[in-house]
Amino acid sequence: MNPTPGLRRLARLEREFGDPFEPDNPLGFNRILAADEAEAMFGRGEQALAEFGLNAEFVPSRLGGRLDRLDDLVEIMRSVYRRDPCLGLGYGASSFIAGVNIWLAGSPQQQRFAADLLCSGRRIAVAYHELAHGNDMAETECRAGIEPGRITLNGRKEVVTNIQRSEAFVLFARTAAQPGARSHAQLLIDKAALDRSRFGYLPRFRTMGMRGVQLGGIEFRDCRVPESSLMGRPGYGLETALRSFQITRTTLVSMFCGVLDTGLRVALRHSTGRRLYGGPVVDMPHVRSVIAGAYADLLAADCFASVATRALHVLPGETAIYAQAVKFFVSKILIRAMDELSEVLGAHFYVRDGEAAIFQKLLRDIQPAGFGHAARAACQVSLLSQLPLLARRSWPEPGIVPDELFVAGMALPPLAFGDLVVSAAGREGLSGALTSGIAACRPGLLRPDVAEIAEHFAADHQLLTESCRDLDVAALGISADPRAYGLVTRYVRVLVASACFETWRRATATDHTTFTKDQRWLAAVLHRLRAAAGNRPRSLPPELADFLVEEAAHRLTSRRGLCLGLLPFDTHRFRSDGETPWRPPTSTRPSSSLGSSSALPRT
Amino acid sequence: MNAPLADYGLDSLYALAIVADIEDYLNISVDATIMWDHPTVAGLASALATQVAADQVATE
Ligand SMILES: Cc1cc2nc3c(=O)[nH]c(=O)nc-3n(C[C@H](O)[C@H](O)[C@H](O)COP(=O)(O)OP(=O)(O)OC[C@H]3O[C@@H](n4cnc5c(N)ncnc54)[C@H](O)[C@@H]3O)c2cc1C
Repeated sequence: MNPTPGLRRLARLEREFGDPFEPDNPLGFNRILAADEAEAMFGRGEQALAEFGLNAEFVPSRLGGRLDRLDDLVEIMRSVYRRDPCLGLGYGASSFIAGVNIWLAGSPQQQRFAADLLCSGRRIAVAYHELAHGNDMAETECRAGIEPGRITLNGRKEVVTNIQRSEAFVLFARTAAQPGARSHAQLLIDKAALDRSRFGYLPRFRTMGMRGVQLGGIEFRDCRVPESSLMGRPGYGLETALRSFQITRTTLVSMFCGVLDTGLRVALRHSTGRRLYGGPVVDMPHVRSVIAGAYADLLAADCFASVATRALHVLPGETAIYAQAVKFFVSKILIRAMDELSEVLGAHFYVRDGEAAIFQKLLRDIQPAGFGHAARAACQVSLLSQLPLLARRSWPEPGIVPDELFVAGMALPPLAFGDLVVSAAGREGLSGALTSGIAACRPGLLRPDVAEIAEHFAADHQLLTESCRDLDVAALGISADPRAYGLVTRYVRVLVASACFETWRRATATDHTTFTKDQRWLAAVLHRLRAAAGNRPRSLPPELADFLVEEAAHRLTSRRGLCLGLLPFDTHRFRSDGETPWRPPTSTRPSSSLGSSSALPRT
Repeated sequence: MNAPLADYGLDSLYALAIVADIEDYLNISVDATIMWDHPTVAGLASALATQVAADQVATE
């Protein structure tokens, strides 16, 4: 397959940043850690991203930017996040959140203004959050008083990335006093047009992780802005937010897969180079099992998030569901996998110097995946109230899901911001696709464990249908019984199982050998999901653990990414002859071959 | 009747689910955001009555 233009740009970015583990790389982990210790953004890294033109990745191509496919954008951003999440969020992703609001609700002039800013490397902050209200966005107090000919701002926004050093910002403000969902609007504000005496910046907020990110606040005192700052109709701000957040919640959390990619590399390098009890640490079955489990979790996160990302192009009417499920599931599995890997590193994960030092930074930096931009629990409860509808309207029918969701690199319909809807109204086809997917497999194709676990989740889907269809929706709001939340957890597991199963099944249609086509990754992911559903060991069977550890080690030495995505990091090979063919890892356990590999610098 | 539904602890996302529930119950089709636009019990009831009447005309 020929690399898409997005993947070519990814290759360029990887080439320009080089191997982050290389001690003398001016864009590598040593320098990234020094910036983190100083609670500063990594200056050289920002410069390199500016030269690469990262902010143009956030701008739709019709406006002169490079954004055509969200899955390409995610891959490019993972490449930033796997080095430094502060760069990912603090140089990039916050402008992306602002951008999506603008592409969705801005006037042609506003879109032009924003596109020009971003394409010339400048930033747009996004100011939603107020300390007093957290996730309860509808309670926003910061006010935009709209009168004929002018708008007046009063109030404050807090804990906002880059509010001080951005050229413009998107503001979420109250436009009417009454409570409810029709009392807000977004404004796009050019700072150059603000009267400096009418607003002030709040002191920086210091944080445990993402230390370099410049979190600030802003306070307005009768601050006039032109009428043309308003985006869309007043009153429709919450609707715009809920629609555009489908894009940003899905993709931002998916970008964090890059963090676990590095976490796995650190754990693997460390446990390969270190010898205990007469052998490399990686040969201890427990250690192999933890590393393999974390790798399986990365694959599940990557696969589910990628399917949901493509759904934003293919099934925008359903992503109100998938986005919440991704935010809920992917953030947790990534954070937990990092926690488990920290045990493999032992004291070395706690030490802020040496080859594993990047790990402690990443462990801190990944935490906002779970609460930033929406709390996991808030996403969970919003799915909860949808369950009876889903059970009545969608689940009894066989899910119809197009191939484009599952096959990386297939042509996607253009992203239609206008097609995103605030409510999926109980319609989604992914969970039901598992049942039809299993039925479509010829007898004997499935490994017995895959068949057994896939059928377990298909059966649970049926049980969920029966137990949710008559649930009283009145009991499923914000004050729902916490025991009911478990229904969402079960439902989301079905979604993830289906996304992975269908991704694998579509891959079996290709002629050449690929990793995605190998049933063992699917088996490993399903084993982990099944264990989470209860009464099964989380440790993978040794055969699967060995497969994944060997695969991860192979990708490490051949400098390829760990996700299902297409791009090898080995960009020289990539340039000359397209995608490197995949061969199943061959070495047998224990993997002493790995321990002697010269490509792996020792810790 | 004229108190905002938000005073009953109805958050905005939850209101969307309630609407679809009403659709199934009354067997009509309404805008997902009808409760956002008619945030009181009285307002919602009259908007729904209009919709039911319109649907009856359409199916007659
Ligand atoms: C690094 C970083 C960068 C940021 N950048 C920006 C930015 O650029 N712009 C911006 O506007 N904001 C930004 N923020 C702010 C961020 O969006 C908020 O911190 C976030 O919205 C969460 O606020 P909170 O945890 O105080 O929410 P709270 O609402 O107080 O949530 C706390 C906990 O309460 C529970 N909870 C809340 N709501 C629900 C619910 N509906 N159902 C069930 N349980 C619930 C959950 O357990 C949740 O974790 C940033 C924050 C960080 C850390």
